[in-house]
Amino acid sequence: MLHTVAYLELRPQTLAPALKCVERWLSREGRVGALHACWYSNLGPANRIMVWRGFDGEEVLIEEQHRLARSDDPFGAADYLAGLSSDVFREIDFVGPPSHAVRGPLFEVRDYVLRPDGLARLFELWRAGLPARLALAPWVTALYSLAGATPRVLHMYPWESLTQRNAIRDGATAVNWPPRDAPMQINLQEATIYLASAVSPIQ
Amino acid sequence: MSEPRDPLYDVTLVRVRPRTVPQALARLAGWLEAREQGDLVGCFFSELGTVNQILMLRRFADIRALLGERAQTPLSADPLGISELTLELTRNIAVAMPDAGQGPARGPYFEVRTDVLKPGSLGRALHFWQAALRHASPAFGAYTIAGDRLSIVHIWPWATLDERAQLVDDPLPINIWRAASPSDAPVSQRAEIFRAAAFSPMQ
Repeated sequence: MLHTVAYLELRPQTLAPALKCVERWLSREGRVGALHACWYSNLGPANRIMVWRGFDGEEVLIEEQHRLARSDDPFGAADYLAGLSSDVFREIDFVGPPSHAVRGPLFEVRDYVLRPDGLARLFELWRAGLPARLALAPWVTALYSLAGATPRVLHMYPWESLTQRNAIRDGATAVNWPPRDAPMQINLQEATIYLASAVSPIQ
Repeated sequence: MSEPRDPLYDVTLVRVRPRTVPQALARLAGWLEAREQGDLVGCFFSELGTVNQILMLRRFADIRALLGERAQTPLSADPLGISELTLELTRNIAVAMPDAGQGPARGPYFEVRTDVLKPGSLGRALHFWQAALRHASPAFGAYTIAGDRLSIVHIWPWATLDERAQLVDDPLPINIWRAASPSDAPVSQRAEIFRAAAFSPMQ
């Protein structure tokens, strides 16, 4: 399964009207593919809406990317956009599809750009260490990029609260998460906390 | 609006360590020879602007082949065969602009102009692009549909750098924005001089 994850970078103080426009767009022209999440940032990069959709085939995905690039009003929010990126991602074979059953209300997206040869090694480490980490708390999923800065991974976590987040992350070191050599595969890291919009299937 | 049958391009930009361009090009040539899909259009290295960059353009008839390769490459132990030399790797997916590169382009110098567009402004950019084609013949032109922020990449050949340097910006035919109003203008622009690698079809 393929995915697109768009970051809509908004002009400051426009989140509320922009979110309404994006929600309306997702219910009309944007009803293409399967919507997984429409989240807006709360900590980390401010004034961002993330729209995450899944696609069954390459043709429909690329046609949608093409349509968005040529649109005069991408996501129905052109008036509010300071910047826009829309990248293509793939599911990781040993991770599988995302679950809509997870519950926030907070979602952390960790966005990593890796060393050029870091992805295979990172996956080897994750595959071995993931069961112990997921026994502590679920993640939403992880994806790797097929366009843009590469290699790049997104991994996403649902949290009840930031207190719970810190407790799980502190406790994860006891089960060797993250795996000891994983940080050596990573060049850049960004961690953003999001809240779900009303139309987001993952809440 | 959407024209998914327009040619698709793999636009790969690598920034390598200083004084490793010849070594990186030799390894990339070997990597390219082993590819079953994608036709190499051009491979260039930067001379003015950000130096130590390599730009690779490959044409794909089929999005499945392009995304399939993108899914596999980063999982190998040494993607592109130049990992130890690479500082940054960006791989965009782009669609050819109308009438781009119709004539035979001869360098040996190639001016690579990268214009980052405001979201929603590609239609205006294509209008200015087509107006510019009345005065000059580009070697290549495409707009991104996945990867970096929405941008157009257009490449113009020069026989000598003196020929290029004698032109000032205002009547410069390749400055496609010269008739644009400030509201249409791109967010940022780069104009860099590249030369063709020995194995590049475009020379």
